[in-house]
Formats: sequence, C-alpha cells, structure tokens
Amino acid sequence: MSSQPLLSVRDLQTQFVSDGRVIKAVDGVSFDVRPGEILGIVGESGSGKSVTALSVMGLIPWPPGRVVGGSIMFEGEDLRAKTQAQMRRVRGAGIAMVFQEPRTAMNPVFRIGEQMTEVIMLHRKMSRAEASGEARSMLDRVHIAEPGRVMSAYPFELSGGMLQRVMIAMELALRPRLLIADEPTTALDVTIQAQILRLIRELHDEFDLTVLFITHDLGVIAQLCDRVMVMYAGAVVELSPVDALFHSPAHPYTRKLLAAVPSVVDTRNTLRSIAGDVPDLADLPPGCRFYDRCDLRQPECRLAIPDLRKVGEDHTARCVLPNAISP
Amino acid sequence: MTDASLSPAVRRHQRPMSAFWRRFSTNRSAQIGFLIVGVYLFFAAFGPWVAPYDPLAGSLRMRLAPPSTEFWLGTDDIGRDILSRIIYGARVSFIIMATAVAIGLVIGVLIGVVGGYFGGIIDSILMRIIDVMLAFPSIFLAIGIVAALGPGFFNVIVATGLFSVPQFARIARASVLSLKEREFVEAAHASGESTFNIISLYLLPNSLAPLMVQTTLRMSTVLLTAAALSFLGLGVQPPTPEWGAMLSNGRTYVMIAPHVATYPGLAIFIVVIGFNLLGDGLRDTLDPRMKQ
Repeated sequence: MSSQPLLSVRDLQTQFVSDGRVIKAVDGVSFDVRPGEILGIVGESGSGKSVTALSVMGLIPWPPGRVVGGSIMFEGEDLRAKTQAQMRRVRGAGIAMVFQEPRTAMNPVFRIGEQMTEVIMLHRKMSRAEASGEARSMLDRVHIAEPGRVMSAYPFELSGGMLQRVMIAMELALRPRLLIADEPTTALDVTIQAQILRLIRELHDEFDLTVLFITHDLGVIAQLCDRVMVMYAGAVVELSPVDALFHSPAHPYTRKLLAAVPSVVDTRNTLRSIAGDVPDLADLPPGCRFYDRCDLRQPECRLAIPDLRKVGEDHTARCVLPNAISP
Repeated sequence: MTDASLSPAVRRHQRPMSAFWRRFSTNRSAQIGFLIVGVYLFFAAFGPWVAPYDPLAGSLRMRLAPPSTEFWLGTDDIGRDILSRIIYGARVSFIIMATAVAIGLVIGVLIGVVGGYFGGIIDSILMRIIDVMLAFPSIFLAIGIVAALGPGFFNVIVATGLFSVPQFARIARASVLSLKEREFVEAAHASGESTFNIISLYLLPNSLAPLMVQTTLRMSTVLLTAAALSFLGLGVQPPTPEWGAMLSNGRTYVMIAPHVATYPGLAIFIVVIGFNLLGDGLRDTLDPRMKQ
C-alpha cells in the first residue's frame, strides 16, 4: 500500500457562480486513492462529494462551475493541464464513472448492445464484431443471465438493478484503472443494492480494480470500503481506515453521522438527526464549518479552520480536540 | 411494475414501434390525416399516369365547361381539364413543400443544436437572429424574401424554406437544452464521447419526436404559404399547374364558373387539413407526457 497513489488530489477548489455569489462547493480537498483500494467518500447532500468526482473527471459545467485551484494527478499526470481532447481519452479508459440513477444514465433510443459496442470501439482498437463479443462477455461477468437478450433490449425494458449491472459492465469493458461510482445504489431497493455492492467487491478482486465510491450511506461504506473520507460543507473532516472510523470516530460530525444511522436493535432512539444547518457555502464562517452544530466547540474553533491532525494510524481529522474524544 | 428481480431477464414490454402503432391506431383524426396524406402522396408520385388529360393542353371549344362525365371537375378559362391540373399540381406543391421543409429543418436544427449545446454568446447571437425572423408575420417574411429574389418556382422554395428556419431552430434548441442536462448525456461525457458523437448519437436521436411533429405541421404551413405566394403572382408562374395560381386564375370567373376556383381551393384545404390532423396525431402519439 506504500506505492505511488493512482489518483492524488491536492487542495482542490471548485466554485459555482450563482446570482453573483461565489459558492465554494469544494474548498481545499486533498486525498489519495491508492492502487487496488476502495476509497469511500461519505457526506450529506451538498457536502461536495459529487462535485469532487466531477472535478476529477473534468466535467464541471462552465458556466456556472469551475475548478479554480489545486492539482489532480492521475497516474503521475496533471489532469488539470490536459486539453478537452486529451481528457476524452482519460474519461472512460482511464477513469470510468457509474452514476446514481441507472434508468436515466443510458441513451433511451438505442439498444443496450449498440451502446456498449459503440463505447468499447471508441476506446479500444476493436472491430464491431469483437467489441460486440466483448460487450457480451462483460455482461456475462456481471452475472446477467441472458446477455444476448439484454443486448437487443432497450434501456426501458430492463429493471434498475439490471441496468446498473449493464452500466458497470459497459464501464469495465473499457478497462479503466479507476472506477468512480457516484451513489450507484442509492436509487435501487435494498436487496438489489446488496447484489450490486457484492458485484463491485467481486469485480474489484477480479480485475484488481481501484474504486472511488461515493455515498451518503455509512452502511454501504462499512460493507465495501477499505478507507473512508468524510466530507462536510465542501471540506474533508476525517480520513480514516474504515474500521477505525466506525470504532473510534474522531470528528464530532462523524460521530453524529454514525449516531444518526437508524439501528434495528435499538428501536427506541432511532431517527436521530443533527441539529442545525450546513453553513451557506457562499458565506462561510472563518472558523470550523461545523462550529454551529458542534457540542464540543471551543472558543478557538471560531477563529480559524482547524488543520487535519493525525489521530491514529493512517487516520486524520479536522478538529482541535481529536484526542479528547473517545468513542 | 412487477417485481423486477423475480421476472425474466428482459421484461417483455412492447417495442417502441408497436406501442406507437397501438396508440396511433386508436387515434381517429390521425388516421384520417394519414389517409389524406397517403392519397395526396399517391397523386404526387403517380399523377402523370392517372391524370385523364394533359394539364397544359386546352381546347378553346371547351372553355369554362362545368363538371361533366367527360371533365369531372370541369375546365378552366382556356379549356384545360381542372382534375388533371389538380393531379399534376400535387407533384408541384409536394416538391416545393418537401424541399422547403428540408431546408428549414436542416438549417433550423443546425442553428438550434449549436445554440442550445454551446450556449453563451453563440447562442445569444443565433437566437437574436431567429427573434428578428419571428418578429415578422410569416407571410410577410416570405413575401419579403420573394420580393428580394424575384418570383419563380425556385425562389418560392427558398422563401418558404427560410421562413421555416425559426420554428425548427427553436424546437431543436429547446430539446437540446433539456437533454443536455440529462444524466445519460453526462454519462456519455464521462465515457469520453466527443462533442460530435454526443450531438449525433445522444441529442439528435432523442429530439426526433418533436421535430417529426413539427415537420408534418410545417408541411401544411409551407403548402399554404406557397399557394398564397402563387395566388399573389409572386410564386410559381403560369402555365405550371400550381393550386394557388389556379385559384388566383379562377377568381376572375367566380361568378360565371365557380368550379374553376373552388376545386383548387378545396384541394389546398383538404391537404392542409390532412397534414394538420396527421401532425396533431403524431404529437399525441409521440409526446412522452401522453404515455402512461
């Protein structure tokens, strides 16, 4: 695990302009994705998870959004320095992405097989027949029972879980080095969700695939990921191996997030929420962004944003008091 | 929806085409429109073989003859068979209509897609041009273009084609604006598709339904406008059998031989109705909001 990171993001700043206000959707995010790991990004809506992923892909729509600072190194190359034409070769073949809602993520007017073949031919030097064969074998790999029938179907003829498998097959057929999965199970029901997670785990083992997995569901993180990054209001608040995060969460926000997960065992105190609101991303306070909602706030938290501090092996948190907190 | 995980691999939905036919076949007005347009296209294609007489050869002995078994719709002021002229005229109007709508479709879609996709200053410039064109009542715009180019068959096509550009441009732009925010277009970007592929494989095929409806409806507008231009003497020139020109010619004799003006007018009326019914029917069957 000490080898060169596959993806290295440093001090990423992505902003959106709306009505003359600058919204700092991602503000100073740094992380590495190490080869062969599954890194989870967790946070609530608007915390900057998806914007981080889209920034890496170079897909922030301008206007209104723009990556204004930081570096994104993928396999030793700076993606921010690349032209659109160069980025098109990275997208798909280098970094592939699977989206949240499989029913709307495929072109409704072409058959599954046509779409898969087209994208495979775009990135791999293959004839139409070879690409079609590759599509079929990838569908087989994601456990689709009748690849032939699925290939001749239109997207609306398949269920959501089935389409998400198709999407994964389509992206993996491009042999990407990194797969970004942006809430790929959020739109699916729980049993299908488990199947998709098992599939991603399996493909990760089989293809030695590196995965950046974005979710708001800590349960999914626990099942799937090696390490996890917690985001709050556009910044990283905690970065930790998955076990450490669940056993000794260091940041007050992480602890509250864990407490908010409904428990099946403890039915008396379920459905807890975190009091207060996320700060306005266009008008951020100078200090800690979680200050208003924090039970353990200190006078100094108001003044400056705390640094990410080491709190354990491979474990950092953006809090002045990490050692004072015990699980 | 039944439980997807238990059903066979592919749920047997109706295919898009068969679903389309099922809805189309329950739409009475669309069927009537389809029938009228079908008959019209038949005459446009096979007119010379089914017309009883030469449309240009008159007989002065038979001037302004009323409908009879010999001349079903009568004859005009120089003794030409009106039925034959209407049948030949179907082809003339079809050539004008199809070419003009094709011009409007191609230029309009190009402008609309480029404006909608790229946005910003390009979009603003293109849309202001379109707004200027839309500011003129359409017949005035067509008259203005013909006035600038001079009358004639070819110039009527150019005029009616250009005045169809704004409608197609706006529809294409609106489609692209809504489609480009859709997740499957974002997913296409994420798999490294080029701008050209995104437009030609993702945006255009998904805009087809509204464009098809507009194409059909536009046919009737162009037919009517071309006939109006010819009626005003700005369009197709005699002796070419064009419905608008025939109507204009028959106007002189409307008191003594009303059939000379009535039948060409009726032909215009029926075909315009046919394309409108077909267009409305297509809209009802293709509009996704109408699907259950």
